[in-house]
Amino acid sequence: MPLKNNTILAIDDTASIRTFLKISLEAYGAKFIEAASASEGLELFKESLPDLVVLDLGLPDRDGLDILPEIKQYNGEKKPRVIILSVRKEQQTKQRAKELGADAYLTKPFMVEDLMELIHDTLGESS
Amino acid sequence: MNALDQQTRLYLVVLEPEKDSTRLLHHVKQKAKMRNTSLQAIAIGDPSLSTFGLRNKEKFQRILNLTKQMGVTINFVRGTGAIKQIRRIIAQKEEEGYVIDSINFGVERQPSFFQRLGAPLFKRLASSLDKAYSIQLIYLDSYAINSQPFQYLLKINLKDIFYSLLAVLFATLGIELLHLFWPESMPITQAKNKAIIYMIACAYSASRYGLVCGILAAVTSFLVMGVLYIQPYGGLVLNDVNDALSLGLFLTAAAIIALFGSRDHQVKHMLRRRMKRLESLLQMHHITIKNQTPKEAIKALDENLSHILETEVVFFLPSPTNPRKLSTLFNDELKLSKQDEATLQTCWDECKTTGAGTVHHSDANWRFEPLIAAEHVIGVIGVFIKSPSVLTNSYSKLLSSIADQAALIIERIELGYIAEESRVQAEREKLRSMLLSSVSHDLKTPLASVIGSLSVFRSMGTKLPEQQQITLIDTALQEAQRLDSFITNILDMTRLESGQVELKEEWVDVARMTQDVAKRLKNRLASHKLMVVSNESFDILADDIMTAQVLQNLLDNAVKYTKAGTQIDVGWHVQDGKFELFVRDHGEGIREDKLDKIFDKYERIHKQDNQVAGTGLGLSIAKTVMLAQGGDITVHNHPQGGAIFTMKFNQWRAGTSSKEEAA
Repeated sequence: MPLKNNTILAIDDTASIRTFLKISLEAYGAKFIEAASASEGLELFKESLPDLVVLDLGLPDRDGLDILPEIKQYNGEKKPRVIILSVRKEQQTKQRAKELGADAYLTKPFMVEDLMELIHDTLGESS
Repeated sequence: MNALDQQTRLYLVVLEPEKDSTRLLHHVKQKAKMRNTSLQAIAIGDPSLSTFGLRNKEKFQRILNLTKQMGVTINFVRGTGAIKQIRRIIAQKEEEGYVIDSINFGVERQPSFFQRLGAPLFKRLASSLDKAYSIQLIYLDSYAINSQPFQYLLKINLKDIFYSLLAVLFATLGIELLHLFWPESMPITQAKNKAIIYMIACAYSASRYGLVCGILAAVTSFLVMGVLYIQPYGGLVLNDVNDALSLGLFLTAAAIIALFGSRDHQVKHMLRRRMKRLESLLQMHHITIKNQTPKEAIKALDENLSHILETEVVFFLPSPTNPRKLSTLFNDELKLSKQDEATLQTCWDECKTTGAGTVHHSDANWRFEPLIAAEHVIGVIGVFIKSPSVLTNSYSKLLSSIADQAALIIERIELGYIAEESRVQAEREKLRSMLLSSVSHDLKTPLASVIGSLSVFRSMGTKLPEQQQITLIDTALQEAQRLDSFITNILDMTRLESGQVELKEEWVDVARMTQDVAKRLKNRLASHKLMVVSNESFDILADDIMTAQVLQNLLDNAVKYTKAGTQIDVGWHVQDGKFELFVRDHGEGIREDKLDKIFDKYERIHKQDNQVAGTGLGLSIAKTVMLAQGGDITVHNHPQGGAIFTMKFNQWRAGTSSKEEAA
C-alpha cells in the first residue's frame, strides 16, 4: 500500500475522472477526498489539510491557476504538494503553473501509471 | 544608340518656398511612376534651419514632409546663389550615373506681386545652363483659360424676357391710364414724363433680370414711344428733331441705367452663387460616414455633388485589375467620346486638371480633376460643363477645392474601413481560437476518462472488487459514447454550415423515432426517469436522422441540467395547426434573460457545461435543422418548474402504424 497514510484531495469537475481516481488511489491505500469546484475544493482543503492536491485547471467557478497560490501559500505545518491535471498543454501554461508553485504537471488524457509515478516522485521528496 | 537603363533616368523637381507645390509633386511623381524613372527634389532653402525666413516656413515644411513621405530624396540648396548650386547638383547627379530627363518647375498662371519682380527661377536657370535640358513647367493653380469676358451675360431665359416686356407693357398701360384720368399731366405731345416712366421700367428689368433684359426693355420702350407717342402716331417716323433727340437720349440713358442696374443683378447673383458653393463645400463633410463602405461613400458623394453643382458629376477610380485604367462605379450608362476618354486618361496619367477650360482640350464638355488625397492620388472626378460661360475663375477654384475635399473624404473613409476590417478580422481570429480550444477541451476530457479508467482496469483490475471493475468499464463506455455524441455534433454543425447537408423529406413515425432515441441514450438516461407522455400515432414530414439527432440533443441537455432522479417528459400534440414534439424537464428552468440566446452557438448557460457533451452546439444544431425543415424550435419555462423545449413541424398526418406502448 504505497500511499497509506496519505490524504489526497482531487479537485476536478468531471465526475468520471474523479471516479477512476478514487478507485485507483484508494486501492493504493490513500484517503481520497473529492471536490467538483474551486470553492468546494478550497473549503475541503482547509478542512482536511491533505498531503497532495490533484488540481484540474478548467473548473467551473474559478480557474485552477487562480486557487493554486492559495493552496500553496496556506499557512500550516504541512506544505501540500500540488499536481496539475489539465487538457491544456501549452508551454506558457506549464511555466505559469510552475511559477505559481505547482510541483508537477500532467496533461490529460493520461494513464494512471504515469500519475502514480508523478505522485511517487512528488511525495517522495517530502521529508 | 545605346539602350538607356531605365533606372538611371532622373526627373528633378524644384520646390520653391513661396509656391504651393502639392500638385507639382503629385504630377511629377505620377509621371515618374508611369515611366519608371527616378525622382529627386531640389528644395530652395531649408525650413528647418534658423536662417530660413519666417514667411512660408510652415507651408514649405509641409510640402517637404509630403515629399519625404512620397519617398523622394531632397537635395537642399541655399536661397542665395541657388542657380549655381542647382547646376552643381545636376553635375553631381550626372556623375553618379543619372541621365537627367527633365527639370520640373511649378508656375502660377496668376503670380503674386512679389513673384512678378525679377525673372522667374526657371528662366534664369535655363539661360545659365550650357547643356540643353528639358525644362518642364507645370501650372500650380487651376485657372480657367477660356473664361468668358462677358461674364454677366448670364443665363437668359424666356421667363425673364417675358417679364421685362411685361414691365414695358405696364409702363404703357400706366401712361394710357393717366391719359384717361388725368389728361393735364400728360399732354399727348409731351414725351418727357413718358420717357421717365419707361426709364423706370428699364431700370427694373435690368436690375431684376440682367443686362440683356434691360437693354431689351430699353429698345422696346423706344419703339413703343416712337410708335404711340411721337408724331406721326402709328408709325416709327421721326420728323421733329426735338423728338428724335429725346428718343435718342432716352435710349442712351436707358442703356446706361441698364448697365448699372445689371451690375447690381450680377453682384446679387454672384453672391448667391458663392454662398451656395461655400455651403456645398461644407455639406460634403456632412455626409454620414459611420459604417459606410468606401463604395457607399463615393456613391453618396456622387449624388450629393451632382445635386450641388447642378450638373453631372462622375467619380473615376482605378480598376482593381488594371490600375492604369479608370472605371466608374455607378454610371454604367456614361458614354464618353474618344477624345474625352483620352482627356480623362491624361488627367490620371499626369495628375493634372484636364478638359474644359484647361490647356488640355479646352473645348471638351467635361472637366477632369485628379483626386489628390494626403499621400496618393485616388482617382479622378469628372464634372460635366454645360456651357463654357459657367467656367469662371471662381468656379474653377471651386471644382479644384471640391476635388481635394472629396479625395480627403474618400481616403478617410477608406482608412476607417480598413481599420474596422482589421479589427473585425482580429476579433474573428480571437473567436476562432477560443472555439478551437473549447472544442479541444471537450474532446479530450471524455477521452481522459476513457484512458484513465481503462488504464486503472488494466493495471489493477483483477485485484479490485467486482463492483469497482464494472464501474471502471462502465465509465469508459459512457465517456466513449459521450465523445461520439460530441464528434457527431461537431461534424453536423460543420456540414450544416458549409451547406453540405440535404435534409430529406419523409414520413416519420413520431413514437417510433422517440423509442429509438430513448434506446440509444439508455445509459445516459439511466440517471433520470424518462416518461413518454403521449401515445397517439402521428407521422411528421421530416428528415428522420437529423430530427432524431435534435431530439437526442434535447434529451442530453435535460439530463445535463437537472438533478439525477428527476423526471424528463417527452410528448407530442397538435397545436395551432402545427405538430409539436416537446421535451420537458423538472429542473430549475432557464434564466429569463438567456432564453432567447440559448440557441446561439457555443452559448453556455452554466459553467458546468464543461463537463458534458455538446460543446454548446446541440441547441444551435437543433435550431438550424428545424428551421431548414420549415419548422422551428422554441423554449420556455414550464409554469410548474423546469424548462420545456418544443419542436414544431409544419406537415403531419395521423399515424398509420399501430400504437406502441409508451416506454
